[in-house]
Amino acid sequence: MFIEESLSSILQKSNPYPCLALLESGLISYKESEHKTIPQELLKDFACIYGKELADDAIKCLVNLEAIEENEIGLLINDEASNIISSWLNQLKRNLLLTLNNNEESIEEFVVKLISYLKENTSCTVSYKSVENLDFIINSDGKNYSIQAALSPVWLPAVAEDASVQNTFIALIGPFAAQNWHHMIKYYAHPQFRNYTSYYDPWHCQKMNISRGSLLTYFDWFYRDVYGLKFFIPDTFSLALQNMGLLRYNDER
Amino acid sequence: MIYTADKIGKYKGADVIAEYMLKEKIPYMLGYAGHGAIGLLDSFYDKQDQVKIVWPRIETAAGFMADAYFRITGVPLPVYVSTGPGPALSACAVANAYYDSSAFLLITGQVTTDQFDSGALQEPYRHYPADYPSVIRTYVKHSFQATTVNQISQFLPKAFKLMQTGRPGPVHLEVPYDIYQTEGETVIPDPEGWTDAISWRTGAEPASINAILKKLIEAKRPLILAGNGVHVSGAREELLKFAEYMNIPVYTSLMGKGAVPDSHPLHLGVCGCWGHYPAVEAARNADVILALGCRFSDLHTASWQPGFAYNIPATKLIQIDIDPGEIARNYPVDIGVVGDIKTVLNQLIEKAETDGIKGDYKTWFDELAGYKKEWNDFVAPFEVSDETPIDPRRLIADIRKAAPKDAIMFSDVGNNQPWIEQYWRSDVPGTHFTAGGFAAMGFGVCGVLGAKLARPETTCINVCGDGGFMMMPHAVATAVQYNLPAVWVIMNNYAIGAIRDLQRFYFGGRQIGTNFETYEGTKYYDGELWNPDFAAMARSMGGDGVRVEKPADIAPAVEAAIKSNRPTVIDAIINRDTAVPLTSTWQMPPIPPALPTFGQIKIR
Repeated sequence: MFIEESLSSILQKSNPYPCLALLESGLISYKESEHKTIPQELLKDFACIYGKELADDAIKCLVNLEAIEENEIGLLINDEASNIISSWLNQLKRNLLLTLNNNEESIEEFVVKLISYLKENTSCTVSYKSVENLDFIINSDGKNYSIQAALSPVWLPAVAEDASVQNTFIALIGPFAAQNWHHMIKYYAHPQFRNYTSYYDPWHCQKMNISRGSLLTYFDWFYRDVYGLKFFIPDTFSLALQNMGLLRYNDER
Repeated sequence: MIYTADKIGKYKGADVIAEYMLKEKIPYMLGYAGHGAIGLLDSFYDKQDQVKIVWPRIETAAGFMADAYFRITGVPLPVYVSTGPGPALSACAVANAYYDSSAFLLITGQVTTDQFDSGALQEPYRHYPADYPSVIRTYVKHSFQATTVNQISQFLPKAFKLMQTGRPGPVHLEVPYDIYQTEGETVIPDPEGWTDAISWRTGAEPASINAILKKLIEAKRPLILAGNGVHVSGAREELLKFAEYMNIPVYTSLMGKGAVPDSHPLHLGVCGCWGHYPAVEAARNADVILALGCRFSDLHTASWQPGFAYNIPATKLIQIDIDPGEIARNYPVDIGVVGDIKTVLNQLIEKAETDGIKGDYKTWFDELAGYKKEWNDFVAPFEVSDETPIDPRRLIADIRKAAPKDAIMFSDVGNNQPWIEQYWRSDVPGTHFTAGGFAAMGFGVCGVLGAKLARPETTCINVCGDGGFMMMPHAVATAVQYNLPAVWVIMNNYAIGAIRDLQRFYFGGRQIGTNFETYEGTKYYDGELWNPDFAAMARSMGGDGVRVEKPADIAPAVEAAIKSNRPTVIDAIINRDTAVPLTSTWQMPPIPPALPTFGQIKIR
């Protein structure tokens, strides 16, 4: 039987992120995938990002906690526990602390400031898909943007195709760089992914994004105007884009 | 008859042109004779003390010289050519002037009016009789074909009006041989009544001036972008005054280079594929840009790819241009003003001063100071490099040291152009010239002679490539003939280096048709690199020539060339594998763009 309090044991782990990533992926899949199960491809990415050992441990731990369960199709979030897990993860997300230019604040404060900056500096309109989830929908120049805080980079491909169909751009904000996010670069070969998603990691002043211009430029300006910091593009990302033929290889260097 | 104020007389068509040039106080007519031009030349025979005939060795060169003369003086010169090949060869120079908002009057001959559609020698007739206007129409503001003497009188003031008002551009006048020689009853119009009295320097509405100032004051990271329109409008002083008053940093396009002194603390450099990092980084980070006479070309904007040079939008663009066609051509504008740059800047200055409006952008300047330091730290070692073959940056730095402060620099087209763009510094505004739009090779090689005609007392230098020089080597002979002691510095890399670099970096290094080499084998790239002895060529034409292979010899060679006051060619052997640092990018779709080779793109 799932016991809410048992979730806190995850945070006692030396690296709680595999469990958190799996829970987040489970919740996304619960809403988005046909059988509510976590897609096998996502699980493969999960194993690559955190390593097979940690990934297996996380699955085992969450199955033991009855936060997720396994059926004949695959792993899925425990139906009865889904709301509790969702609230718990959201609370965790909102309280994640950022230290930006010697000022400490929560990711919730960061995202709220970002949204007000966008409202102040552009003619966009903002609606809230889920305040609790820090999930904002912004319309700017006729285009929709979903700005979300997230714990893990791993599940973004699971929603990218739908986003492209709905012509909604997803910008994820979270502590991704420390979670081997480079593994996700392979998805930039898919137009639906590269044209409709971007990752921002304000902890590490990095971003992975080739859907450039318009509202996203204001993300950079917000980061600089409010915190005096800049988002950098990791070299591995640029090199990967070159290998995919999306950027020209240049040996002038 | 419309010329009621002028005295009617009997003139040959060619006399009308000659007399009108005297009234316009035109000092030179350039061109190249042919059977279609001698009728015109004859009317200048007795006027050579007032209108000097200068004929370089090909029509294109005449056009390039006239183009350069206009860029420096604002005076459009007539360029005479014959029929057929002459007009065809001049088309390149006409286009070069047109793209860069420069001007000259191209006068072409044509078969006689009674031979129209006969297919007489050199007549373009197979689609329409005497049809050169159809050939040149894309590259001129207007093309006139006079079939009576009186029409010449009508067309000339219109031509000069068009060349000198609004956005300048070349104009074409075609005259059949018989009309040059036919007498007709007409008048020689006075320019005062037909062109000089026209007020064309339109300003902005007061509401637009207020809106522009408000936008700039509210900005956190404003920039002023000076394009070629600042030079063309003669607005360099006003630009500096406004920028200083408002305390807004200035950067330029390639064509706007030299609009403000390079050493001015507000100056950031050139933005473009091979621009200066502080300018490029500032452009992609600015929240408001006031663009003055800039058309946002592909090389300037990283082929309009967001994030490389610009982020418009989100950057708010205020664009002022005399040509409405250039406003919002490639980027949406927050405010667009069709107007003369000089006039609008004066309006802005007056309003800002009256209202006591001034900007305070300290944080922005702190950020820009960081960009400048990064760039200067990168550049400095190359400018003193002792490596051989010579590093292009050392070459340019040493020319700069040896040349007087006010020396006029004409770069050509090819890699020499971006090298000069990045490394030639000038504290005297309006002394850098290049062909940025049509970008015809050879323009600088000949243009430097037009500069010398315009400013005989000033040192005029052309930096060109071996490719560009060999397109127009006869410029040296013209210089000797007319005592125009220009200095040519050839960046000799045994290649058309800019295109070779595209092959190196876009086409996997497969070099074909871009290296100057002997062709000995069965395929390209088998032979030895080869070029003529340029210094010896110069000497054979009566000029001086020297080959420079060591960095230490550059400055003495330039100093000697300037001191000699003789046309001199300096053949400098440079490192052919050093590529111009890419601070932005340029794309040739479908080949994807490259990332800059200097400076990480921080904002995308």
